[in-house]
Amino acid sequence: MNSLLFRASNLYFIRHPAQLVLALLGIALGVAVVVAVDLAKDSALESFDQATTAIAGRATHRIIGGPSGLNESLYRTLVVEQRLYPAAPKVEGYVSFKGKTFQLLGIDPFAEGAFQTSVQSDQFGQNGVSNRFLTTAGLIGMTDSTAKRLALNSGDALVLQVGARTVPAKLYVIRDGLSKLESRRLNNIFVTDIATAQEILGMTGRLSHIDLMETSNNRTAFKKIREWLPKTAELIDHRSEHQQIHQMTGAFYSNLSALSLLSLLVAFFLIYNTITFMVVQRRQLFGKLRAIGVTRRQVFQLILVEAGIVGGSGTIIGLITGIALGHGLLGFIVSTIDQLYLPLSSSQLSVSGITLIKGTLLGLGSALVAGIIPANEATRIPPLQAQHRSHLEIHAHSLSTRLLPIGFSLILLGALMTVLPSSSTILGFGGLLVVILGCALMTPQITIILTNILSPLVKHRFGIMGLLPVRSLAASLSRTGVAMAALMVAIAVTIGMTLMISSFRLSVTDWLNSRINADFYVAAPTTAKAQSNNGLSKTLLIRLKTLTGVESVGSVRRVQIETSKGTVSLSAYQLPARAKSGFHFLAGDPGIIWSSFEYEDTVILSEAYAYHHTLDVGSITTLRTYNGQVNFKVVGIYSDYNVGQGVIAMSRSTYNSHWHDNRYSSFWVYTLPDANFEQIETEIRQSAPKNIHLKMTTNKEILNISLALFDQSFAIAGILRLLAAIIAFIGVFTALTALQLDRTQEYGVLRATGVTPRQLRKLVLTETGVMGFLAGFLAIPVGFLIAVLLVYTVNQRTFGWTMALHFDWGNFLQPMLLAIIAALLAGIYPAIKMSQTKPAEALRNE
Amino acid sequence: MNETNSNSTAPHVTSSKQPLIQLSHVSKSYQDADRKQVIFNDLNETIHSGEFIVLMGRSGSGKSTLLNLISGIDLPDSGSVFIESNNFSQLTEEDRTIFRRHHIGFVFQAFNLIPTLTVEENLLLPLELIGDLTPGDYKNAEELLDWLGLADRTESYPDQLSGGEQQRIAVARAIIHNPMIILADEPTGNLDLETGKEVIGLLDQLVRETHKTLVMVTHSREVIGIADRVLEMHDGMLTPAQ
Repeated sequence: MNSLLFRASNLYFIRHPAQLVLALLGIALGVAVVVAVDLAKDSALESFDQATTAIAGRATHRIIGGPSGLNESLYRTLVVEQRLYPAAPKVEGYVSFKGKTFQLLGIDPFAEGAFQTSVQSDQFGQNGVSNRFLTTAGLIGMTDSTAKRLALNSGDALVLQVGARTVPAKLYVIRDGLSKLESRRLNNIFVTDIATAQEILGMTGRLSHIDLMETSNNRTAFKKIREWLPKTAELIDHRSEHQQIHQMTGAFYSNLSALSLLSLLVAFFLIYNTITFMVVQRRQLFGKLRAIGVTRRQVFQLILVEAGIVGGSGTIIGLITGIALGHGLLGFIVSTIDQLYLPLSSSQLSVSGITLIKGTLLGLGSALVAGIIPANEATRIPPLQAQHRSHLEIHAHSLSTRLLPIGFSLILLGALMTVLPSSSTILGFGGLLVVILGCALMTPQITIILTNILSPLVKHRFGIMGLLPVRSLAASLSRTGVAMAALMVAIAVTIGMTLMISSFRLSVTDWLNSRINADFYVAAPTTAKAQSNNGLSKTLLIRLKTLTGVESVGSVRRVQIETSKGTVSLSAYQLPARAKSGFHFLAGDPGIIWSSFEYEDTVILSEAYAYHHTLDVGSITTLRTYNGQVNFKVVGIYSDYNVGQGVIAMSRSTYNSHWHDNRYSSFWVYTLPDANFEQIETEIRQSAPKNIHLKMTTNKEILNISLALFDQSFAIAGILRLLAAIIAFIGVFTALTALQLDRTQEYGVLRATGVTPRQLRKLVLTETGVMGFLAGFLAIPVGFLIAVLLVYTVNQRTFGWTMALHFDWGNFLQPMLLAIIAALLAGIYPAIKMSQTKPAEALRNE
Repeated sequence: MNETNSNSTAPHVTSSKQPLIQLSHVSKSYQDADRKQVIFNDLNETIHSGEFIVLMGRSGSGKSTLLNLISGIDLPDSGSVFIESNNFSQLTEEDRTIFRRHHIGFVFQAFNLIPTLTVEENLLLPLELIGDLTPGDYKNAEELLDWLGLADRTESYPDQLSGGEQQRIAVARAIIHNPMIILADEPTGNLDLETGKEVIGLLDQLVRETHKTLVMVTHSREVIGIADRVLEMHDGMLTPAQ
């Protein structure tokens, strides 16, 4: 590369440092958002996997049981009679401490060795720690960092909340022998021996599961397992543990990925916008260089090297910013997952090389791709034409005309991808992105059409000075086209997401209002995941039914049934008439459903379950029960917006006949019309045994909590939308600054003709306002299209839910207003700058 | 968008054969890197109403700067520029702009028509800045274009016109609002000889017929014959050309 040539070109940046800063800022922010979302998402997922690895280690298989686990004698049979080892028994459950939920893990430290779990050797096997656990009653261990977080020391007495019960325990802090990784893996886990875990969790004589490792020595014994395994137990591949977690949180991550992809799309526009400006603003210079003998190849190289340097520098800043931003986002993700799905340790952000490569490819790759197009254009045309702005605009107009049918085709292709009969979430989101890209490509040409329509109206109302900003928008398409597209995409995504979320919220509210129709909900204070392990007794149910003022009491038992295909959520209902009215069936006749529900092996499915397992009314689903594999007939599909893979619901009587479980997860208390609420509440509390603490909630409280959770789970979407809007704002700001710089001379002429500085400011701001208005205006149909695709196809593929699209003008007008305000704000600096430029200086540019 | 000021608020200028532009002890310099470049030092000159003045001189001698001072686009470091009784140094930026919009017309070397406006709109812009457009204004524009032989280009955009056509429109734009002074900065610089002659002829005709004052910067010796006075700028001084 000729150094003089390089200097000639770079003088531009020395003269316009603000342009360089904006270019770097644009690229950096685009890269930062994508990197931050990716890192935070992966780190949260990794902490799940680490927790699983901490417990399961090198286990290849697992023997699982029903809702109440396995009989512990199975372990003895396995090791003593069948001589199948290595095998490690586990008792797992969830306990609450200081208002937070922790996993309690009961292990046999001596059996863990071969699995290389985080709870096997060294810290448990040496220094008599294992013996200490075996000889001290109620001793539970936690890592030094967890103890510090909870402000606890070894020997402290703890009171654990296990379901409705409170259980005393004693703390032992594991200080030695844990590597940093192991310590991090055990961050949210309390460890103890099998017997203590059984005692605390109320699982005397039961195991949660037995981990196994298939080796060359035990292969023969392994093959025979299924022959002698009791009907109530099942051997599964251990990978299903990971699948469960991924299934459970899949929808949440899909949403995050989608938002990250949208940020990526907006970021790409911004980077493209930035680099294109760098080239087009020096078109004259390149024309002059060509005229004095610089070859096309040299100019092309010059542009690409520059794009590479600016793109590379912006990328480095973006990667650093992205890591910092990722820390903040991770907190949001962890707290949302913790509330909605599983207890999750406060994860640390782990910076993965793949994400950094992805960010680098985005920043540097986009910059180079963005450089190639204008570089090619700048070198293809004759040197003299390169010096004329009009040629550039003619080219931009011709390009926008060609992009119109391409954009339209992409919209059709994307729409086709989303309506294809497939359950692929990736295909759904991919289709959505293609639609958005198509709309973005159509934006410049539609802008021209709109300004042509608007021009006579504006001229009539505001005169020639009013006409100027509208016309210049279309006339400067090489500068405004990409910025308009970026702003339109950001606003359209905001409209689409807002419409989807508000529709979703309304559907959830309707659903909650109809389903949550009992006056009191009585449950053990526990998380949804822990409900399998804990429960309320039938005695309490009988007592509740006899209370004065109580009309009827319904019950539900929620359990997780592990299968080879993952975890299935099962709900066993005992439903009074009022509770039944809360079910809204999407398929099946309610009369037939309720008449067969109590007496036959029938189930009703939540919409999500039916969708994910492609089941319909009349289908048969098979579940492993205490009586072995049993077929259940699907008689109805009901509306349900709970997260996860959906629920199989059956009557309590059907459940009782197939599973030996006498516990209840919650009771629904319906009162008589003239009942005294306070008295009933007191009597319910008094009905519980002394060491049982009941969690009582009214329907209003449940509604409020559910909606608060709903809002929290979409809070991150709000942040990402805001970031996308900021990226778009910078895009518009860059475009406007560059545009105003281009038009310095024109403004000089206007000032010479008698336009005052105030009028000039107004002119610039009107131009930016029109830009915002048009971007917002175009974003309305695009946003609506995005909402339709999100609600009717993408959401169903992701969550298995359908909902009605709720149309609210406010959801359109607010983002449009945001677009105008953003564009106006972006115009303030160029407006002031231009009005302050002395006309004599502006005219000297002539 | 219209921010108009009626004639009553604009500084008043009467039209008669009397001193119109007065440069009194005008000094002007520019800071060029670490060097101060003196353009004028104690410059004095008077231009009368209806005069056709040609300014000549080497590049960088300060011809365009003088036009900027006369139009109020720029201010002298010291001394005063009077248009009749209006001292630019005592007017605000806003007042000088409003004065310019009423009383001064500009013709530039690079034509400088607004590329996003049609020929007619370019022409009407100065009138709109003065006040709301009337049917009479449209008629004036039509007549002017007809007189220039460009009646069929009303709806054309500047980039659809030849250089000569663009400069004729620029001349029309400079006179449509009936200013007292027309300032032309090398109006033939971007034109071929023949077209340049046409434009000069046009300006001369307009000045003579409408009694405007024309100050034209040019390198073209052919203009000397038709100008009332030819002044040469040299070493910051104005002297009658030999």
